[in-house]
Amino acid sequence: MNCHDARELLSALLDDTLDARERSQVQAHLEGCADCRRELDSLRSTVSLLSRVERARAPLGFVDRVMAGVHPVPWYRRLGRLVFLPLSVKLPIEAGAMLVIALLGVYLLQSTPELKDAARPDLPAMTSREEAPPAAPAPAPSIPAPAPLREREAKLKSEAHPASGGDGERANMARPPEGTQAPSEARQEGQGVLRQSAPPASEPAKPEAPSPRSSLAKALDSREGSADRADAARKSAPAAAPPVVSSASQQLAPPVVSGVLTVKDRQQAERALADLISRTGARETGRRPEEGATVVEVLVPQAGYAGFTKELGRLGAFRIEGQAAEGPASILLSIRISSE
Amino acid sequence: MREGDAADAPLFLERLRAGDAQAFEELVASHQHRVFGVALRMLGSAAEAEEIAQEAFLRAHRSLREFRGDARLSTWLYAIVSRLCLNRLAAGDRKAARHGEEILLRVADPRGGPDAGAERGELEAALHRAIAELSEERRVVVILRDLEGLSYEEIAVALGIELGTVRSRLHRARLDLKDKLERFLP
Repeated sequence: MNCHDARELLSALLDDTLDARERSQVQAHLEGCADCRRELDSLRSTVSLLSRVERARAPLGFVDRVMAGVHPVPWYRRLGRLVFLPLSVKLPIEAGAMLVIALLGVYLLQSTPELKDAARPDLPAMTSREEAPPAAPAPAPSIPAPAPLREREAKLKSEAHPASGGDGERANMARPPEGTQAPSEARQEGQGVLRQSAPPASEPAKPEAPSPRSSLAKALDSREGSADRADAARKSAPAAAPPVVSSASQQLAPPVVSGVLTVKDRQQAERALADLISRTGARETGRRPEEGATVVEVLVPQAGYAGFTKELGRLGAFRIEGQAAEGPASILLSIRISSE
Repeated sequence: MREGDAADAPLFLERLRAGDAQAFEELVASHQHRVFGVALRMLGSAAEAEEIAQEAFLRAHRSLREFRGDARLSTWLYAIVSRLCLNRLAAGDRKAARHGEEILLRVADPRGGPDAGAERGELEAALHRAIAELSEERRVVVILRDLEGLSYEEIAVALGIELGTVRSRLHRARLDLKDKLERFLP
């Protein structure tokens, strides 16, 4: 055996995989060949070095990933894991969802007036506006409500009791925006001007049986300290009227009446009206010029209302729009004086 | 007794063939490092090695009923992962990444880490580099023999080659390594 043949078998010799004949031949060659012995030593050292190679380790979770691939989790189990999350995970998620829903609800309530009004506990009772009596005036508390509250009450009244002002269109349920108009805006509509005002503080309170009351009415009562007066006001409402009619919102909104006075001489009529106001104990609460007319707002005591309107008829052609109901301490009469 | 020998117990094999998930999980747990190690040395990329190792176990699971028990389970798993690696290396797009420093560094440090190479011994780095630079046919033989400890016969079965071919390839691989690691030899 020469060196070439012997060296081809050196690895097998190291691994002890040669048969007896090959092994004896190689060993015989090695005994006489120093180069091949050095080659064998080098190979042995090389194999020894290889044994020092660090063993690789599979990454963490390898077994789980293999098992997940072998046995895929059925869809219903994955769904179950989602549904039955641990409380530590679910609770914060659910709390956050509830908060978002609550904020969304508040936002919608604030941004939508219809929703805001519908949320009031007493308003569902007046779903049928057509059934509301044409006028359900009730004396308001002697102390005027704060302006913002008064405006809200006025809006409620105009919605719940649109016919009280004599404007037929206001009874139309299909026009909620008009029903919620501010008084200043409502004044621009038509010739008649619908206004409301709190009656004088001297109006006596009347006892009455308890009836449903709105939360706003209670709030007003507590702020004004006039619970008795509010109760008395409710008594003045018609017995057959639905609860809304006798609510505090109605009590705070006395009827307003508008009329048109057509005269030959407007200035003369205005002077005569001023004289009439002074004679009847009424009080002028506002005046504004309009195109071809002058609108005068007069607060007329209920007792002298009939006489006042009769006197107006003598000044010219007076046409009243709407009818004041019995009960209120005073009536705000808006007179549009125009030339023929 | 080598790691994984217990897996060849008849009762355990019966459980595997019967589809016992726990038995298969034990098989994966006991052989994961060996299978992953072969893939890592062959491919040089930890991510690619994990992918191939997982695929090897999945194929083993699908073929467990066909496993006759002629060879050891570990040899069977080596055969699967070795062939998967050779197929992957034979793919055209994979061959482009065969050479270069990047592959060698990834072999040297399978878990990444920018400073890991600096902490590595010079000898170990040279060993990794030398193995990685072997041809694929020689590399798989030297890995199975000198790193994993398979016998010539097992390697021949695993790779489906003749015993003489195993001997020849192994000897050539060792000669290559001897030349590359000469400065570390006494």
